[in-house]
Amino acid sequence: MAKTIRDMRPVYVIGIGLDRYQRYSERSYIEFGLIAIRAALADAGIPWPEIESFYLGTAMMGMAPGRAMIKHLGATGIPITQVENASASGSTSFRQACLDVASGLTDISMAAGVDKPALIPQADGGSPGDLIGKMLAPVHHFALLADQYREQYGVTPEQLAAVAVKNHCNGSKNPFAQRQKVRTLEEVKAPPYLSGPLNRLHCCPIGEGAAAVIVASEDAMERLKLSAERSIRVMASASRSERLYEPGENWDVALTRETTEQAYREAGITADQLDVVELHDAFTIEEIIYTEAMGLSEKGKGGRDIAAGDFDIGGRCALSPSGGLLSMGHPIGPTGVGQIAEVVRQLRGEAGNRQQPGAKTGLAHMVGVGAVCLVHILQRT
Amino acid sequence: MKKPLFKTDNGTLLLLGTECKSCRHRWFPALSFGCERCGAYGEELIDKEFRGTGRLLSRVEVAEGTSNFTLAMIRLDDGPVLGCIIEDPDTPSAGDLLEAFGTTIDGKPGIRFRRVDG
Repeated sequence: MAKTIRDMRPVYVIGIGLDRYQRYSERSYIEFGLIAIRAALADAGIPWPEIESFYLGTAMMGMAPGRAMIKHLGATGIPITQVENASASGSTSFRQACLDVASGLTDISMAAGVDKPALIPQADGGSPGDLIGKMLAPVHHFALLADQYREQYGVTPEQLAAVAVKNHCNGSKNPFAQRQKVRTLEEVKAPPYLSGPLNRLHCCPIGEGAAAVIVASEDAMERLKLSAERSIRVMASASRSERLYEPGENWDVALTRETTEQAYREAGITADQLDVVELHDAFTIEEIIYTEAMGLSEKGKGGRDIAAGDFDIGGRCALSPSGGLLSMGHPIGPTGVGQIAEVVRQLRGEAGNRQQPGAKTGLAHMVGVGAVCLVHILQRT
Repeated sequence: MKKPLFKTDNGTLLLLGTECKSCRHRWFPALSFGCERCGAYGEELIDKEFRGTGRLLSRVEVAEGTSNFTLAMIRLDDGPVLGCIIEDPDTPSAGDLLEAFGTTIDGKPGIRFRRVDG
Protein backbone atom coordinates (compact mmCIF):
# COMPACT_ATOMS: atom_id res chain seq x y z
CA MET A 1 0.00 0.00 0.00
CA ALA A 2 1.33 3.46 -0.88
CA LYS A 3 2.81 5.48 1.95
CA THR A 4 2.57 9.13 2.91
CA ILE A 5 5.48 11.14 4.15
CA ARG A 6 4.15 10.76 7.68
CA ASP A 7 4.26 6.96 7.39
CA MET A 8 8.02 7.14 6.87
CA ARG A 9 10.81 8.57 9.01
CA PRO A 10 10.00 11.95 10.56
CA VAL A 11 11.44 14.88 8.61
CA TYR A 12 12.28 18.23 10.18
CA VAL A 13 13.21 21.59 8.70
CA ILE A 14 16.36 22.60 10.56
CA GLY A 15 17.59 25.59 8.55
CA ILE A 16 16.20 28.37 6.35
CA GLY A 17 17.83 31.10 4.31
CA LEU A 18 16.91 33.69 1.69
CA ASP A 19 18.31 36.49 -0.40
CA ARG A 20 15.86 39.32 -0.87
CA TYR A 21 13.64 38.98 -3.94
CA GLN A 22 14.18 41.93 -6.25
CA ARG A 23 13.78 43.25 -9.78
CA TYR A 24 16.10 41.95 -12.47
CA SER A 25 19.70 42.98 -11.82
CA GLU A 26 23.14 42.27 -13.20
CA ARG A 27 23.94 40.01 -10.24
CA SER A 28 24.78 36.42 -11.06
CA TYR A 29 22.30 33.80 -9.84
CA ILE A 30 25.32 32.08 -8.28
CA GLU A 31 25.92 35.08 -6.04
CA PHE A 32 22.45 35.30 -4.58
CA GLY A 33 21.92 31.54 -4.60
CA LEU A 34 24.99 31.10 -2.41
CA ILE A 35 23.81 33.86 -0.06
CA ALA A 36 20.57 31.96 0.57
CA ILE A 37 22.32 28.60 0.93
CA ARG A 38 24.97 29.91 3.32
CA ALA A 39 22.26 31.59 5.37
CA ALA A 40 20.39 28.28 5.66
CA LEU A 41 23.57 26.47 6.74
CA ALA A 42 24.28 29.14 9.34
CA ASP A 43 20.69 28.98 10.57
CA ALA A 44 20.98 25.22 10.97
CA GLY A 45 24.47 25.49 12.46
CA ILE A 46 25.91 22.85 10.14
CA PRO A 47 28.63 22.95 7.48
CA TRP A 48 28.04 22.25 3.80
CA PRO A 49 29.72 18.79 3.80
CA GLU A 50 26.82 17.51 5.99
CA ILE A 51 24.38 17.99 3.08
CA GLU A 52 23.87 14.63 1.36
CA SER A 53 21.62 15.57 -1.55
CA PHE A 54 20.63 18.82 -3.21
CA TYR A 55 17.49 19.74 -5.14
CA LEU A 56 17.33 23.03 -7.03
CA GLY A 57 13.96 24.44 -8.06
CA THR A 58 14.36 26.63 -11.13
CA ALA A 59 12.15 27.34 -14.12
CA MET A 60 14.17 29.98 -15.99
CA MET A 61 17.85 29.15 -15.60
CA GLY A 62 18.17 26.61 -18.40
CA MET A 63 20.27 23.47 -18.29
CA ALA A 64 22.49 22.52 -15.33
CA PRO A 65 22.69 25.61 -13.13
CA GLY A 66 22.95 23.59 -9.92
CA ARG A 67 26.51 22.34 -9.81
CA ALA A 68 27.87 25.56 -11.27
CA MET A 69 26.51 27.19 -8.14
CA ILE A 70 27.08 24.73 -5.32
CA LYS A 71 30.62 23.75 -6.31
CA HIS A 72 31.67 27.03 -4.72
CA LEU A 73 30.68 25.58 -1.34
CA GLY A 74 33.24 22.83 -1.84
CA ALA A 75 32.58 20.12 -4.42
CA THR A 76 31.56 17.16 -2.25
CA GLY A 77 30.15 14.96 -5.01
CA ILE A 78 26.58 14.76 -3.68
CA PRO A 79 23.65 14.06 -6.00
CA ILE A 80 22.28 17.25 -7.57
CA THR A 81 18.89 17.44 -9.24
CA GLN A 82 17.31 20.39 -10.99
CA VAL A 83 13.53 20.47 -10.58
CA GLU A 84 11.27 22.31 -13.00
CA ASN A 85 7.56 22.32 -12.25
CA ALA A 86 6.64 25.82 -13.41
CA SER A 87 5.72 28.06 -10.44
CA ALA A 88 5.78 25.01 -8.20
CA SER A 89 9.44 24.23 -8.93
CA GLY A 90 10.63 25.24 -5.47
CA SER A 91 7.82 23.40 -3.69
CA THR A 92 8.62 20.30 -5.68
CA SER A 93 12.32 20.52 -4.85
CA PHE A 94 11.31 20.73 -1.18
CA ARG A 95 9.13 17.66 -1.56
CA GLN A 96 11.99 15.71 -3.13
CA ALA A 97 14.39 16.68 -0.35
CA CYS A 98 11.82 15.59 2.23
CA LEU A 99 11.33 12.26 0.47
CA ASP A 100 15.09 11.60 0.50
CA VAL A 101 15.17 11.98 4.27
CA ALA A 102 11.83 10.32 4.95
CA SER A 103 12.81 7.25 2.93
CA GLY A 104 16.17 6.94 4.60
CA LEU A 105 18.19 7.65 1.45
CA THR A 106 19.79 10.57 3.28
CA ASP A 107 19.87 12.05 6.76
CA ILE A 108 20.21 15.67 5.65
CA SER A 109 19.12 17.19 2.34
CA MET A 110 18.75 20.68 0.97
CA ALA A 111 16.07 22.19 -1.23
CA ALA A 112 16.86 25.50 -2.84
CA GLY A 113 15.28 27.73 -5.44
CA VAL A 114 16.91 30.28 -7.68
CA ASP A 115 15.76 32.16 -10.76
CA LYS A 116 16.33 35.25 -12.87
CA PRO A 117 13.63 36.59 -15.19
CA ALA A 118 13.84 35.30 -18.74
CA LEU A 119 11.50 34.80 -21.63
CA ILE A 120 11.15 31.04 -21.58
CA PRO A 121 7.92 29.94 -23.21
CA GLN A 122 5.88 26.99 -22.06
CA ALA A 123 6.62 23.78 -23.90
CA ASP A 124 4.91 23.54 -27.28
CA GLY A 125 2.96 20.30 -27.35
CA GLY A 126 2.18 20.57 -31.07
CA SER A 127 -1.49 21.36 -30.54
CA PRO A 128 -3.10 23.61 -33.15
CA GLY A 129 -4.28 25.66 -30.14
CA ASP A 130 -7.61 27.40 -29.91
CA LEU A 131 -9.00 30.79 -30.83
CA ILE A 132 -7.31 32.69 -28.03
CA GLY A 133 -4.67 30.28 -26.75
CA LYS A 134 -1.56 32.45 -26.89
CA MET A 135 -3.51 35.55 -25.79
CA LEU A 136 -4.60 33.98 -22.49
CA ALA A 137 -1.75 35.25 -20.34
CA PRO A 138 -2.16 34.48 -16.63
CA VAL A 139 -3.38 38.00 -15.82
CA HIS A 140 -6.24 37.60 -18.27
CA HIS A 141 -7.07 34.12 -17.02
CA PHE A 142 -7.44 35.42 -13.49
CA ALA A 143 -9.24 38.59 -14.54
CA LEU A 144 -11.79 36.33 -16.22
CA LEU A 145 -11.98 34.29 -13.05
CA ALA A 146 -12.53 37.45 -11.00
CA ASP A 147 -15.36 38.40 -13.31
CA GLN A 148 -16.92 34.94 -13.01
CA TYR A 149 -16.58 35.05 -9.24
CA ARG A 150 -18.17 38.51 -9.15
CA GLU A 151 -21.11 37.24 -11.18
CA GLN A 152 -21.54 34.22 -8.94
CA TYR A 153 -20.93 35.65 -5.49
CA GLY A 154 -20.98 39.42 -5.84
CA VAL A 155 -17.44 40.16 -4.64
CA THR A 156 -16.84 43.91 -4.56
CA PRO A 157 -13.80 45.76 -5.94
CA GLU A 158 -13.04 46.74 -2.33
CA GLN A 159 -12.98 43.10 -1.21
CA LEU A 160 -10.68 42.16 -4.08
CA ALA A 161 -8.43 45.09 -3.30
CA ALA A 162 -8.39 44.21 0.40
CA VAL A 163 -6.27 41.15 -0.45
CA ALA A 164 -3.60 43.38 -1.94
CA VAL A 165 -3.79 45.91 0.88
CA LYS A 166 -3.28 43.16 3.48
CA ASN A 167 -0.44 41.48 1.63
CA HIS A 168 1.41 44.67 0.78
CA CYS A 169 1.12 45.66 4.44
CA ASN A 170 2.62 42.31 5.48
CA GLY A 171 5.35 42.61 2.86
CA SER A 172 6.30 46.05 4.14
CA LYS A 173 7.48 44.28 7.33
CA ASN A 174 9.46 41.63 5.48
CA PRO A 175 13.11 42.44 4.72
CA PHE A 176 13.15 39.71 2.07
CA ALA A 177 10.13 41.02 0.15
CA GLN A 178 10.55 42.55 -3.29
CA ARG A 179 7.83 45.10 -2.60
CA GLN A 180 8.06 46.64 0.86
CA LYS A 181 5.56 49.49 0.57
CA VAL A 182 2.25 49.84 2.37
CA ARG A 183 -0.56 50.43 -0.14
CA THR A 184 -3.93 52.09 0.41
CA LEU A 185 -7.24 50.83 -0.89
CA GLU A 186 -7.32 53.78 -3.30
CA GLU A 187 -3.92 52.91 -4.74
CA VAL A 188 -4.91 49.28 -5.22
CA LYS A 189 -8.15 50.23 -6.98
CA ALA A 190 -6.66 52.93 -9.22
CA PRO A 191 -6.04 52.69 -13.00
CA PRO A 192 -4.27 51.85 -15.22
CA TYR A 193 -5.64 48.33 -15.35
CA LEU A 194 -3.83 45.38 -16.85
CA SER A 195 -6.95 43.28 -17.34
CA GLY A 196 -10.48 43.82 -16.09
CA PRO A 197 -10.26 45.36 -12.61
CA LEU A 198 -6.71 44.17 -12.00
CA ASN A 199 -4.03 46.84 -11.86
CA ARG A 200 -0.38 45.99 -11.25
CA LEU A 201 -0.82 45.92 -7.47
CA HIS A 202 -3.31 43.06 -7.93
CA CYS A 203 -0.53 41.07 -9.62
CA CYS A 204 2.72 39.64 -8.41
CA PRO A 205 5.90 41.33 -9.66
CA ILE A 206 8.47 39.77 -11.94
CA GLY A 207 11.82 39.38 -10.25
CA GLU A 208 14.79 37.28 -9.20
CA GLY A 209 15.89 35.75 -5.92
CA ALA A 210 16.95 32.71 -3.96
CA ALA A 211 15.78 30.64 -1.02
CA ALA A 212 17.07 27.50 0.67
CA VAL A 213 15.86 25.12 3.37
CA ILE A 214 17.52 22.13 5.01
CA VAL A 215 15.63 19.03 6.13
CA ALA A 216 16.96 16.36 8.43
CA SER A 217 16.13 13.11 10.19
CA GLU A 218 15.97 12.65 13.95
CA ASP A 219 19.19 10.62 13.69
CA ALA A 220 20.99 13.59 12.15
CA MET A 221 19.55 16.00 14.68
CA GLU A 222 20.76 13.79 17.51
CA ARG A 223 24.20 13.26 15.99
CA LEU A 224 24.68 16.96 15.38
CA LYS A 225 23.00 17.98 18.65
CA LEU A 226 20.58 20.29 16.86
CA SER A 227 17.91 22.22 18.69
CA ALA A 228 14.62 20.37 18.69
CA GLU A 229 12.82 23.61 19.56
CA ARG A 230 13.82 25.29 16.31
CA SER A 231 13.17 22.18 14.19
CA ILE A 232 9.78 22.05 12.52
CA ARG A 233 8.25 18.76 11.41
CA VAL A 234 6.94 18.20 7.89
CA MET A 235 3.57 16.53 8.44
CA ALA A 236 2.33 16.28 4.86
CA SER A 237 3.51 16.63 1.30
CA ALA A 238 0.71 16.39 -1.26
CA SER A 239 1.31 16.75 -4.98
CA ARG A 240 -1.39 16.55 -7.64
CA SER A 241 -2.06 17.62 -11.21
CA GLU A 242 -5.16 18.88 -12.95
CA ARG A 243 -7.65 16.27 -14.13
CA LEU A 244 -11.09 16.44 -15.71
CA TYR A 245 -13.44 17.79 -13.08
CA GLU A 246 -17.22 17.86 -12.90
CA PRO A 247 -18.92 20.19 -15.41
CA GLY A 248 -19.17 23.69 -14.01
CA GLU A 249 -16.46 23.14 -11.39
CA ASN A 250 -13.62 25.63 -11.68
CA TRP A 251 -10.41 23.70 -12.16
CA ASP A 252 -8.25 26.19 -10.25
CA VAL A 253 -10.45 25.64 -7.21
CA ALA A 254 -10.85 21.89 -7.66
CA LEU A 255 -7.13 21.21 -7.99
CA THR A 256 -6.34 23.15 -4.81
CA ARG A 257 -9.25 21.56 -2.97
CA GLU A 258 -8.19 18.02 -3.81
CA THR A 259 -4.54 18.60 -3.02
CA THR A 260 -5.29 20.35 0.26
CA GLU A 261 -7.73 17.67 1.33
CA GLN A 262 -5.06 15.07 0.70
CA ALA A 263 -2.59 17.08 2.77
CA TYR A 264 -5.08 17.41 5.62
CA ARG A 265 -5.60 13.64 5.63
CA GLU A 266 -1.87 12.99 5.64
CA ALA A 267 -1.26 15.43 8.46
CA GLY A 268 -4.32 14.35 10.42
CA ILE A 269 -5.65 17.91 10.77
CA THR A 270 -8.59 20.01 9.67
CA ALA A 271 -8.60 23.51 8.16
CA ASP A 272 -9.57 25.18 11.42
CA GLN A 273 -6.29 24.01 12.97
CA LEU A 274 -4.20 26.09 10.59
CA ASP A 275 -2.49 29.13 12.10
CA VAL A 276 -0.57 30.40 9.08
CA VAL A 277 -0.95 29.83 5.37
CA GLU A 278 1.31 30.87 2.52
CA LEU A 279 -0.56 30.35 -0.72
CA HIS A 280 -0.26 31.10 -4.44
CA ASP A 281 -1.59 34.66 -4.49
CA ALA A 282 -0.04 35.68 -7.81
CA PHE A 283 -3.31 37.56 -8.41
CA THR A 284 -5.68 38.87 -5.74
CA ILE A 285 -8.63 36.70 -6.81
CA GLU A 286 -6.49 33.64 -6.17
CA GLU A 287 -6.24 34.28 -2.46
CA ILE A 288 -10.04 34.47 -2.28
CA ILE A 289 -10.75 31.29 -4.22
CA TYR A 290 -8.01 29.23 -2.59
CA THR A 291 -9.11 30.33 0.88
CA GLU A 292 -12.46 28.82 0.08
CA ALA A 293 -10.99 25.76 -1.65
CA MET A 294 -8.92 25.02 1.46
CA GLY A 295 -12.01 25.18 3.66
CA LEU A 296 -10.90 28.33 5.50
CA SER A 297 -13.96 30.24 4.31
CA GLU A 298 -17.36 29.16 3.03
CA LYS A 299 -17.88 29.23 -0.70
CA GLY A 300 -18.49 32.78 -1.83
CA LYS A 301 -17.42 34.26 1.51
CA GLY A 302 -13.66 34.42 1.09
CA GLY A 303 -13.62 38.02 -0.08
CA ARG A 304 -15.87 39.09 2.76
CA ASP A 305 -13.78 37.28 5.38
CA ILE A 306 -10.49 38.68 4.11
CA ALA A 307 -11.85 42.22 3.99
CA ALA A 308 -13.19 41.78 7.53
CA GLY A 309 -9.70 41.04 8.84
CA ASP A 310 -10.20 37.33 9.62
CA PHE A 311 -6.93 36.51 7.90
CA ASP A 312 -4.80 39.43 9.00
CA ILE A 313 -1.80 38.69 11.21
CA GLY A 314 -3.49 38.28 14.56
CA GLY A 315 -6.69 36.97 12.99
CA ARG A 316 -7.97 33.40 13.20
CA CYS A 317 -5.39 32.35 10.59
CA ALA A 318 -2.75 34.57 9.04
CA LEU A 319 -2.81 34.36 5.23
CA SER A 320 0.34 35.41 3.39
CA PRO A 321 2.13 36.83 6.45
CA SER A 322 5.28 37.14 4.31
CA GLY A 323 3.42 39.44 1.95
CA GLY A 324 2.67 36.53 -0.38
CA LEU A 325 3.50 36.44 -4.04
CA LEU A 326 1.83 39.83 -4.43
CA SER A 327 4.31 41.62 -2.21
CA MET A 328 7.13 39.27 -1.24
CA GLY A 329 7.33 38.37 -4.89
CA HIS A 330 7.36 35.44 -7.25
CA PRO A 331 10.76 34.86 -8.79
CA ILE A 332 9.40 31.35 -9.56
CA GLY A 333 12.12 28.84 -8.59
CA PRO A 334 12.61 30.23 -5.08
CA THR A 335 8.96 30.99 -4.32
CA GLY A 336 7.83 27.67 -2.91
CA VAL A 337 11.02 27.32 -0.88
CA GLY A 338 10.58 30.84 0.45
CA GLN A 339 7.06 29.93 1.56
CA ILE A 340 8.45 27.04 3.60
CA ALA A 341 11.00 29.42 5.13
CA GLU A 342 8.22 31.83 6.16
CA VAL A 343 6.04 29.08 7.64
CA VAL A 344 9.02 27.75 9.59
CA ARG A 345 9.86 31.24 10.83
CA GLN A 346 6.28 31.66 12.01
CA LEU A 347 6.13 28.29 13.75
CA ARG A 348 9.44 28.98 15.49
CA GLY A 349 8.01 32.27 16.77
CA GLU A 350 10.79 34.21 15.03
CA ALA A 351 8.76 36.35 12.64
CA GLY A 352 9.10 39.59 14.63
CA ASN A 353 6.45 42.15 13.73
CA ARG A 354 4.93 39.71 11.24
CA GLN A 355 4.42 37.03 13.91
CA GLN A 356 1.09 35.21 14.07
CA PRO A 357 0.64 34.71 17.82
CA GLY A 358 0.89 31.11 19.01
CA ALA A 359 1.44 29.68 15.53
CA LYS A 360 1.81 25.92 15.69
CA THR A 361 0.55 24.58 12.35
CA GLY A 362 1.25 26.05 8.93
CA LEU A 363 0.49 25.29 5.32
CA ALA A 364 2.36 26.18 2.14
CA HIS A 365 0.50 26.00 -1.18
CA MET A 366 1.75 26.51 -4.71
CA VAL A 367 0.26 25.88 -8.11
CA GLY A 368 2.14 25.67 -11.39
CA VAL A 369 0.97 26.25 -14.92
CA GLY A 370 -0.05 23.04 -16.62
CA ALA A 371 -1.49 22.63 -13.96
CA VAL A 372 0.04 21.16 -10.85
CA CYS A 373 -0.46 21.83 -7.16
CA LEU A 374 1.66 21.12 -4.10
CA VAL A 375 0.63 21.51 -0.49
CA HIS A 376 2.90 21.02 2.52
CA ILE A 377 1.80 21.09 6.13
CA LEU A 378 4.33 21.76 8.88
CA GLN A 379 3.91 21.66 12.60
CA ARG A 380 5.82 22.63 15.70
CA THR A 381 5.87 19.39 17.70
CA MET B 1 31.52 42.79 -12.00
CA LYS B 2 33.46 40.39 -14.17
CA LYS B 3 37.20 40.62 -13.78
CA PRO B 4 39.56 40.80 -16.78
CA LEU B 5 41.18 37.59 -17.94
CA PHE B 6 44.73 38.91 -18.27
CA LYS B 7 47.01 41.88 -18.01
CA THR B 8 50.41 42.90 -19.28
CA ASP B 9 53.10 43.91 -16.79
CA ASN B 10 56.29 45.37 -18.26
CA GLY B 11 55.75 43.38 -21.41
CA THR B 12 55.02 40.15 -19.51
CA LEU B 13 51.59 38.67 -20.05
CA LEU B 14 49.90 37.43 -16.86
CA LEU B 15 46.66 35.45 -16.54
CA LEU B 16 44.38 36.66 -13.76
CA GLY B 17 42.89 34.07 -11.43
CA THR B 18 42.17 33.36 -7.79
CA GLU B 19 43.83 31.48 -4.95
CA CYS B 20 42.23 30.15 -1.78
CA LYS B 21 44.28 31.10 1.29
CA SER B 22 42.70 28.23 3.24
CA CYS B 23 43.73 25.32 1.05
CA ARG B 24 45.92 26.92 -1.63
CA HIS B 25 43.67 25.72 -4.45
CA ARG B 26 44.11 27.96 -7.52
CA TRP B 27 41.86 28.55 -10.49
CA PHE B 28 41.41 30.54 -13.68
CA PRO B 29 39.52 32.70 -14.51
CA ALA B 30 39.11 34.84 -11.39
CA LEU B 31 35.92 33.96 -9.52
CA SER B 32 35.18 34.85 -5.93
CA PHE B 33 32.02 32.82 -5.19
CA GLY B 34 33.86 30.22 -3.13
CA CYS B 35 36.62 27.62 -3.24
CA GLU B 36 35.57 24.46 -5.03
CA ARG B 37 37.95 22.38 -2.93
CA CYS B 38 37.20 23.58 0.61
CA GLY B 39 34.25 25.99 0.35
CA ALA B 40 36.12 28.98 1.83
CA TYR B 41 34.92 32.33 0.58
CA GLY B 42 35.08 36.06 1.20
CA GLU B 43 38.44 37.28 2.44
CA GLU B 44 39.91 33.78 2.17
CA LEU B 45 40.00 34.19 -1.61
CA ILE B 46 42.69 36.41 -3.11
CA ASP B 47 43.48 37.63 -6.60
CA LYS B 48 46.36 35.76 -8.15
CA GLU B 49 48.46 36.37 -11.25
CA PHE B 50 49.63 33.32 -13.14
CA ARG B 51 52.53 33.18 -15.55
CA GLY B 52 51.39 32.45 -19.08
CA THR B 53 53.47 29.33 -19.52
CA GLY B 54 52.47 25.70 -19.17
CA ARG B 55 52.50 22.17 -20.58
CA LEU B 56 50.13 20.93 -23.27
CA LEU B 57 47.80 18.19 -22.00
CA SER B 58 45.69 17.55 -25.07
CA ARG B 59 44.69 19.20 -28.33
CA VAL B 60 42.11 18.84 -31.08
CA GLU B 61 41.66 20.34 -34.55
CA VAL B 62 38.30 22.05 -34.94
CA ALA B 63 36.55 23.04 -38.15
CA GLU B 64 33.62 25.41 -37.54
CA GLY B 65 32.08 26.83 -40.64
CA THR B 66 34.87 28.56 -42.51
CA SER B 67 37.25 28.79 -39.53
CA ASN B 68 39.71 26.13 -38.42
CA PHE B 69 41.56 26.26 -35.14
CA THR B 70 43.42 24.16 -32.60
CA LEU B 71 41.75 23.84 -29.23
CA ALA B 72 43.91 22.67 -26.35
CA MET B 73 43.96 21.99 -22.61
CA ILE B 74 47.09 23.11 -20.83
CA ARG B 75 48.30 23.01 -17.24
CA LEU B 76 49.88 26.31 -16.32
CA ASP B 77 53.22 26.16 -14.53
CA ASP B 78 51.46 27.95 -11.67
CA GLY B 79 48.78 25.26 -11.35
CA PRO B 80 45.41 25.84 -13.01
CA VAL B 81 44.30 23.80 -16.02
CA LEU B 82 42.56 25.81 -18.71
CA GLY B 83 41.36 25.64 -22.29
CA CYS B 84 43.01 27.78 -24.92
CA ILE B 85 43.52 28.19 -28.65
CA ILE B 86 46.91 27.47 -30.10
CA GLU B 87 48.38 29.49 -32.95
CA ASP B 88 51.55 27.79 -34.05
CA PRO B 89 52.77 26.78 -37.51
CA ASP B 90 54.08 23.53 -36.05
CA THR B 91 51.52 21.46 -34.19
CA PRO B 92 52.61 21.02 -30.56
CA SER B 93 52.48 17.65 -28.86
CA ALA B 94 51.39 16.67 -25.38
CA GLY B 95 54.04 17.68 -22.90
CA ASP B 96 55.36 20.58 -25.00
CA LEU B 97 55.94 23.87 -23.21
CA LEU B 98 53.59 26.62 -24.41
CA GLU B 99 53.49 30.35 -23.75
CA ALA B 100 50.71 32.91 -23.96
CA PHE B 101 51.03 35.86 -26.30
CA GLY B 102 48.83 38.88 -26.85
CA THR B 103 47.03 39.40 -30.11
CA THR B 104 43.91 41.00 -31.50
CA ILE B 105 40.79 38.84 -31.75
CA ASP B 106 37.66 40.27 -33.40
CA GLY B 107 39.09 43.74 -32.91
CA LYS B 108 39.77 43.32 -29.18
CA PRO B 109 42.90 42.36 -27.20
CA GLY B 110 43.04 38.62 -26.64
CA ILE B 111 45.36 35.71 -25.91
CA ARG B 112 46.59 32.76 -27.89
CA PHE B 113 49.23 30.17 -27.03
CA ARG B 114 52.28 28.97 -28.99
CA ARG B 115 55.04 26.49 -28.39
CA VAL B 116 58.20 27.65 -26.69
CA ASP B 117 61.26 26.33 -28.43
CA GLY B 118 63.93 24.83 -26.30
